[in-house]
Amino acid sequence: MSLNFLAGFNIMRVFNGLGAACLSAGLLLVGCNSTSHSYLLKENAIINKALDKAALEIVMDDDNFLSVSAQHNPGARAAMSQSISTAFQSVPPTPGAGPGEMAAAYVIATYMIKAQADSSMHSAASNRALPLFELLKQEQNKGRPEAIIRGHLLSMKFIQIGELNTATGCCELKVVVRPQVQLSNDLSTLEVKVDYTVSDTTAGEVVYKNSFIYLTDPAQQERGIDHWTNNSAKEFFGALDLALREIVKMIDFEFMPNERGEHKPKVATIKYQNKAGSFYERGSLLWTVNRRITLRDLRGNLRSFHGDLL
Amino acid sequence: MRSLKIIIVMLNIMLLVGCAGVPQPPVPLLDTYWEKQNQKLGVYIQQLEKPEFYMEGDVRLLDYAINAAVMSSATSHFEGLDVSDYDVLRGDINRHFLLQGSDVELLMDDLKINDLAEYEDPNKEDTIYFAKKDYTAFKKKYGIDHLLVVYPKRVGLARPYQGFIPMGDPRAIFEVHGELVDLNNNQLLWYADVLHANFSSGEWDEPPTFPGLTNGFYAALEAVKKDVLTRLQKKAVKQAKLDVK
Repeated sequence: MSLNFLAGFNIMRVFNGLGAACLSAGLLLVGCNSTSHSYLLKENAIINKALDKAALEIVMDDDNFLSVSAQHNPGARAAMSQSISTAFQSVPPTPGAGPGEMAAAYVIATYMIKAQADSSMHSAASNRALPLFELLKQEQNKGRPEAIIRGHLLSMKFIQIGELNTATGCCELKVVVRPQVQLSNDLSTLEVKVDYTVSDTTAGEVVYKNSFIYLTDPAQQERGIDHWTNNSAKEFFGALDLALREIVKMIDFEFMPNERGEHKPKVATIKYQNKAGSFYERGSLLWTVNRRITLRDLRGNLRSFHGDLL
Repeated sequence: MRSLKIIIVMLNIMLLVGCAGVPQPPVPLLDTYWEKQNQKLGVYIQQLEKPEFYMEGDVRLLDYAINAAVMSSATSHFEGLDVSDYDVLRGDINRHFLLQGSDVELLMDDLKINDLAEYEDPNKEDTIYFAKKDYTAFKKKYGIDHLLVVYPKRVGLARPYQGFIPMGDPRAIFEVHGELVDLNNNQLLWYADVLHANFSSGEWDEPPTFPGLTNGFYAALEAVKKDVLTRLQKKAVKQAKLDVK
C-alpha cells in the first residue's frame, strides 16, 4: 500500500491557519467515539410489574445473527501490529516535515492500514466459517434458531410472557430480545449474546436494558469448522441451546426479587484460569457451577464462561 | 572568538553527556540469596496515593491543558478508584519470604525515600551494582540486614500524544519499582521495574465509569503483584514446577 499521498500534506499549516477551530476539532475527534451504557434497573418499577405478563418481541437479524470475530486471535493481531509498524517506517519523511505533520501522517496511515488489516483478517476467518453460515441459513429459513430462543424465553420465571397482542390490554411490560452469536477468530468458541430491553408500555419508557453473554467451552481447534457443522450443525445448535438455558437462568437471577437490593455481591477482581491461561476480571461473582463462572462485569452485563477460580 | 565558541560547544557536549546517565539494568535475585538464612529482612511497600493520567510524547504547555481537559472525565474516575488491592502486596510478600524461611519485619513507617542522600557508586565499572539512595542507616534503625523496597512508579492511565493529537487509545497502566538492598554495603541484590498495561476490551470512552479501562487497570494491578512475587521466587522452585508439568 503506497502512503506517498501523505507527502506534502501540511496539516500543521492548516492547523495554524484555523487556530481555535483546530482545538475544537481535536476535542471533537477525541470525543466522537464516546459511548455510554445504560444499565437501567428501576427496581421498584420493575419488581411491581415483574409478575405481570409481558409482551415478547424477538428481533432476529438473520443476516447478522452469526458473525465472526476479527480480533480474537492474539497471534494474528500481533502480526497485524507488526505490519502497521513496518509499513509506516517504510514511508520516507517529507522533506521539512515537522513533528505535527509526522504525527498526523502516522495517525492517518495507522488507521488506514489497521482498517485494511482488520478487514482482511475478518474476511479470512469468515471464509473459513462459510460452511456454518450456509448451514445456518437453511435452518433460519425453517425458523429453527428463533424457535429455540423463543422456547427458552417462555420458561423465564420472573417475567412471564403473555399474549403478544397489546390491543387486548396485555401487557404493561414489553420485552425486546436481540440475540447474536459470534464465532471466535480461531473457530474454537461461540459467544452467545442476548441484548435484553424491558419497556413500560404505559409510560413508554425503557426500564431495564442489559446484555447476557455466554461463552462456550473451547472446542478442539484442530477440528476447525467441522466441529460446528458436522451432523447438521449438531454442536452449534447444542451450544446455542445450552447457552440460552444458562442465559435464562441469568435473566431469572436478575429479576428474582429476593436476590436484589441489599445482598448485592461485592465488586472485586476475580482470578481464574482455563486452557488459554490465567485471567483477571473485575466484577461481582454471582455463582460457579460445573467449572463455569458467572459474573456481572463492570458494564453491568451478566457473563458466563469456562474457568476455574484461583 | 573562535576558541570561545569551541569551549562553549565542548561544555555543552560535556553537560549533555553528563545528563544522560547509564540506566540501571535489572538485577535478578540469585539463588545464593536464600542460602543465608540468618539475615533479617525489612519489607517496605510504599503506599499508593491515587492513580494519575500520564501524557506520553511531545506535549507542550498548551497541549497539556487541552489533553487534560479532554481526558478529565477519565482522569477523575481513575483518581477515585479503590486501590486497596495494592496493599495486599505487603502481606503477599511477607508470606512469600516467611515460606522461604526468612526472618521478616514489615516496615510501616514512611521511609521518605526521596529525601534520602544519594549513595556514591564505589564500583564505576559496574561489576557490582549499588542502590542510588543510601539505605544503610536503616540497618541500625530497624535492626535489619536487607531491605526490600517496592514503590509505585506510574499508576493510572497513559496515552501517547504528538502535541494535542492522540497517537493511540489510552491504556491502563500499573508500574512498580522494586529493589532489595544489602544494608551492610548498599549493594543491590535485586532490582526491577515491573510494568503491566492493558487496553480496553471494547470501546474505551465510556463515561462516567469507563468499564473497559477500569477492568484493564485492575487486571494490570493483579498481574504486577503476581509478577513481583515471581521475580522474587527461588529459581530452583520455579524449575521444579516446570519439571512437574
